[in-house]
Amino acid sequence: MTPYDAIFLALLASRCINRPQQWWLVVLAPLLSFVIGSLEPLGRLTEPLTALFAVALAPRWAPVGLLLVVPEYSSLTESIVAAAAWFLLDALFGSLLKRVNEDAVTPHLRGWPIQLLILGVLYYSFLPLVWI
Amino acid sequence: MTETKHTTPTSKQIFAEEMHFGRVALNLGFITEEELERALGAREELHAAGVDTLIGDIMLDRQLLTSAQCEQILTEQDRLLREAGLLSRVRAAPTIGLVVAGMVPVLSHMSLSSVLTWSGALLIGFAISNRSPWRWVGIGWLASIIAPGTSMASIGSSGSLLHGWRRPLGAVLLGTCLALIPLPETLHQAGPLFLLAAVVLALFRKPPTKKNTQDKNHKGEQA
Amino acid sequence: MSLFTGPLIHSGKTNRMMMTLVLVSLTPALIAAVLHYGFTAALLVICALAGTWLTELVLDRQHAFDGSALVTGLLFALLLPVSAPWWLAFLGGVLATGLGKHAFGGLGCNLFNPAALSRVILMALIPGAWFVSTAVTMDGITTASPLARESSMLAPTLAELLSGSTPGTLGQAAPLAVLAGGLLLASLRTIDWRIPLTFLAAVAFLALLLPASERIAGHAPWLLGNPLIHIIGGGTLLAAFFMLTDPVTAPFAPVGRIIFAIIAALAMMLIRYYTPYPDGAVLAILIANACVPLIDRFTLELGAAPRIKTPQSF
Repeated sequence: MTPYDAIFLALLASRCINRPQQWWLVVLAPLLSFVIGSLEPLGRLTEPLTALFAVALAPRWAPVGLLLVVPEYSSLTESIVAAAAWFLLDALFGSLLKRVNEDAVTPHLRGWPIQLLILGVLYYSFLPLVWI
Repeated sequence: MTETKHTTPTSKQIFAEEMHFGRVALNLGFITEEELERALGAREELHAAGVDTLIGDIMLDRQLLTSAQCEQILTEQDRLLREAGLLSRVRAAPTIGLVVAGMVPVLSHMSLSSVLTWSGALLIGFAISNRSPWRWVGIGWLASIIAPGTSMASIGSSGSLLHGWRRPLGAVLLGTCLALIPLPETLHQAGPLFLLAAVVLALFRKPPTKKNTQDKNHKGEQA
Repeated sequence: MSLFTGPLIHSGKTNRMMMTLVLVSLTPALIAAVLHYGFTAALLVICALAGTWLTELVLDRQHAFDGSALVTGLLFALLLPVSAPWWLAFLGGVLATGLGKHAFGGLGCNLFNPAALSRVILMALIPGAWFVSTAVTMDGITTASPLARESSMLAPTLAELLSGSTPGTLGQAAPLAVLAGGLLLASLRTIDWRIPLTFLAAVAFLALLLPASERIAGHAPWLLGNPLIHIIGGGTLLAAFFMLTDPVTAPFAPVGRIIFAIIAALAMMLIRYYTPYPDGAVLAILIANACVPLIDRFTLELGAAPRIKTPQSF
């Protein structure tokens, strides 16, 4: 899974679980994943430790943290950009959802379909991030 | 015999009526019928004079309501809208959990053996676990020991998103289908899959009706 | 206490009047494109217009004759490369109105510019229909574009850019015609002048300021420190005057609109300098549109006076 896909999947997952108070700690998941992955002595323990830390950051938001550590981050910069992108996109997505005029949206699209549409549009709009 | 015109208000009209600020204030016992009539009359007069004012502002100005009561009325309106599905901040939505989990194998570009391990881990995991993420990390670890190369974070994230027995089964079927069916390369990304999911959900969705909401409320009261 | 903030005062201009003005100001660009590219361009425009108008007629008969569908169709047509097939123009028109506008609730409720949204999604889903060559770009330009003439290492001259002799989209056939239409709209106060002015100034500033990437320095060094090329080339002018200024997808407050234009310029220049996309104007519009609710939140909380938002959509 590419970091970009993981960010968007985590964004969707974060919308179907109640947001815990310490939700923002999940931002650290990509950084932790890279740091733990770069520690050579850990060997086969790398993956379980990463997963455990991802859950420990925000247990109620474990799926989000775990999705963010699925990709292998190749550099510290990549993990920082992924964390920042997730944080920014989460804020953007939340604000866009508040702006949607649900009364005007056709009943079939209300709720999840319109959220998925917005997420799809955001995915394509921010695609150049992949190269930055 | 002349046909009588059917004048029963639709459920939408009833709901719209219930949603009015004044009606909610009345139902909550903050104002009386008489006070509501007076406020509405004042709004009509202002409207005739070319000034459009919100009924809440009139009630506040005339000290029929306090700011706290206004807040409470708005919260109640919000709750009614949510219950009717008009504002859909649906939490812990199982269908979307299923969709997210089902997308994991195709987006991870899993091999056939990895997809099988992922499916097996989800199904066996649900027999012995619940939604506890700690247990799912353990199940993922076991699966990655049995089948090296399998991402335990993928299993953990999918498992902790789902509950019941239908959702995991659905996620396994969706994940396996998406991973094994030779989809065009442009669909091997989250963006197009979101759009596709939106279209499918819109097509198969049953929009919430007033009756459903009333039934739900009634059940809630009985409980 | 949260209150509904949506249009409370009428600006005096009806939707139909505003749409007519926009259509009139787009006419020079349209005529230039048809004269430049001939029958193919006319066919693409007709198909795009048919797509948007028929969809509007089916989904919202009430607004089918106010001109908004025609504006969306025309803008989408001007974003098409001349090599695009006719069905793509039609499909894009349908998608712009159906998905870009009506999925969000119709006129005045859309979050993103419909024409830009339709183009970006179609580019991603069926790239093969847009490009003759195998190189997939988001610009819809098949051969060397004014901004991606990487193989020749030759900079396009100003005369080439202004006459539209460099290959590009229909909207790039005559930049001066687009500019004239935009200035007409700004002079009639149909659009807020702050947005195009800030956007173009920020583009020029960033063209001088941004450090070169390896990719751009190795293949198109003439793009560096050359603000004029970035303003005239690509979809910059069309975006500045006709797409970013859509009042539905722009922020309320004047300060917010300036921030919005700066974000759009920054996104476009970052895309041009550091990604393989040669233009990025359309993507920048969507990125800026996505930031609008946040911009509104911060600028309105800071006490900036909101401007009247008329319910229309390009």
